[in-house]
Amino acid sequence: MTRSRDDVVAMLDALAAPLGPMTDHTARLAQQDRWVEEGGAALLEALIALLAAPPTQLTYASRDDWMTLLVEITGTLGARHPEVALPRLVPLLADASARGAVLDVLGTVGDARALPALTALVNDPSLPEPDLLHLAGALGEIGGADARALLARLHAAVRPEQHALRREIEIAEQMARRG
Amino acid sequence: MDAATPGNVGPVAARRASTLRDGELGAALHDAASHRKPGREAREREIEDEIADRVIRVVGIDKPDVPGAPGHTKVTPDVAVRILENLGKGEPPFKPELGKGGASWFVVEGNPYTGIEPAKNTPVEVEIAKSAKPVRFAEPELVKLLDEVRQETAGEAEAAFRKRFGLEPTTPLNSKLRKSLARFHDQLAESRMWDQVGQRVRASPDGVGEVVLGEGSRFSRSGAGKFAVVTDASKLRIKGGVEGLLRTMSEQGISAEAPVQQAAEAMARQAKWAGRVRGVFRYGGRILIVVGVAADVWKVYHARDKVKAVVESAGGWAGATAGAAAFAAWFVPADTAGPLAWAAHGVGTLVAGGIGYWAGSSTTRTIYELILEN
Repeated sequence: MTRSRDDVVAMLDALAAPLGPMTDHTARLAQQDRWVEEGGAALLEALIALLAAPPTQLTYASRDDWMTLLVEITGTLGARHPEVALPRLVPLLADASARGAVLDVLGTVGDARALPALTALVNDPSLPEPDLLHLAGALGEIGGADARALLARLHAAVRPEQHALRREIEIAEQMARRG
Repeated sequence: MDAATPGNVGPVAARRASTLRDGELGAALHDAASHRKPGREAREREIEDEIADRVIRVVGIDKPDVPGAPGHTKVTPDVAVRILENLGKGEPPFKPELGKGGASWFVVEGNPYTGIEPAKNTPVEVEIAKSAKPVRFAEPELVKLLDEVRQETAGEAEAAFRKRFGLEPTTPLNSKLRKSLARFHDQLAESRMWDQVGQRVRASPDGVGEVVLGEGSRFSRSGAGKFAVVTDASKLRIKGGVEGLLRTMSEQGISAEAPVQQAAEAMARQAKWAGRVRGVFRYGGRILIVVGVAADVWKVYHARDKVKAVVESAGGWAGATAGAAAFAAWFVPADTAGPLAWAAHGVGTLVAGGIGYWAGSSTTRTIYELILEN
C-alpha cells in the first residue's frame, strides 16, 4: 500500500507535537508504534523520500521535533527492512542537505553493508564537521572491526579545536566496541 | 420515594396502580400474573407502566438545574456509550477521576491544541457549572511547572527511553540518541505537567480550574484558547441531555449493527416498553438500549448479547426461549424495595425476557439473543 506524502507528513506532525492535556505520553507512544507497525515497508519508502525533501510548513510540531521523529521512525523501520532501506538511503548520501539525517538513519539500521558508502565519506576531506559528527555516530552504531578502523581514521584526523567532534568519535568508539 | 397518599387502603388487587405504594406494586403485579381472570393483561400492563414511570422519575432526569458555561471535548465511541450508560443510571455523565490528572478537560474558548487521536472522533458538548474561583494556569505557570517536572523526571525519562530502544544503562548516547532522548523527555514531562495541573485543581476548594493558552504557546502552536478543568462530576451536564448525545452519536454513525437494533426493537415490542427505541449500542460485550418515552424522559436498558451461530434446522429460537425462561425465573414479585432497587436490580426483570433475531445465510443463521440485565 502506498502512502501519500501529505498523510505521512501530517501524521509525523501529530506525533511530534506537544501532547496537550487530553493525551497521555504512553497513549501517544502506543499510537506511534501502531502506525509504524501497520505501515511496514510502504511507510518506510515514504519516510525515506521525506528525508530528501522535508516539508516547509508544519501545523503542530516544531521542525526539530518533526525531524527527530522522522529519523527515529525511519531508522526503526529500516532496521526491520534493510533490503528496502539500504538501496534507497545510500544514494541520498550524495545530497548534502539530507546527508546528516541519512547518516543517523543508517546508524539505527546498523547494517554493515552501508560501510563502503561510509568509507567514501571518511575519505572525503571536504566533508563538513556537522556531517563528520553524524558519520561518527553511524559508524559507532554499526560497529564491528571495519567500522572501528574507520573511526580510528576519523579520530586521527581530528584537529585540536574540534572538541565536540572528538567527543562524538570517542562515544562512537565506545559504542562500536560494545556492539 | 413512595407514592403513598391518604386513602391507600384496601386490597392491593382492587386499587389503581397509581395509588399503590412502591412496596405494593410488586405484590400487585404478582397477583395479576397469577390469576387467569379477564383483563389480566391490561392489569399487568397498568402495573408495569406505573413501575416504569416511577423508575423514570428516579433515573431519567437529565436537565440541568442551572445553565452553565458551554464547553466541548471529543471522546471515543466507547466513552460516548459509557456516558449514555452513566446518564441512564442517573449518574453524572463524566467520571473525572479517570481523566488526565484526575480531571475532565473541555475546550471552553478558542481553538487550543487538544492532541490528535483518530479514535477520539465523537464530539460531546457540555455545560459546566460556574465556579466562583477557578484555579488558573497560564503560560508562565505552566512553563514553571514544566521545568520543575522536567528536572524531577530526568532519571525516569532516560531509564524509560533506554528500555524502549533496548539500550543498556551504561551504553553511551551519541548526539542523535541524546536528541531523541530530549524529545522523549519533553513529552513525558509535559504529560506529567498536565497530571499535576489536574491534581492541583482537584485539591482546590471548587474543584474547577482553567488553563489559558495564548497565541504562540509552546503547548498549542496551532491556536490560542482556554480549557476548563473539572474534577467535580456534579458540575458537568451534557448539553441537550440524552437526546443531544444520541443525535451526535447518530451523526457519527455509532450504533450496533442492524440485526441487533432489530432485536432490541423486537424486545421492546414484546416487553411492551413505553416509548420508542432511539439508540442501540454495543460496548464491552454488552448492549445498551436507549428508549425515548417523552420529551426529556428516557429509559436506558442494558442487555447481554449472546451471539450464536446455529444450523437452520436446529430450531434457533430455542436460545431465545431459554433466555426468556431465565428471566421469568429472576422475576421476584416480592421485591418491595421500590424504584431505586428496581433500577439497581434491572428494570428489565420487571418487563422482559430474552429475544432472538435471525440473520445470516440460508443454512447457518446467527441469533442475536438479547437478555436484559442490570
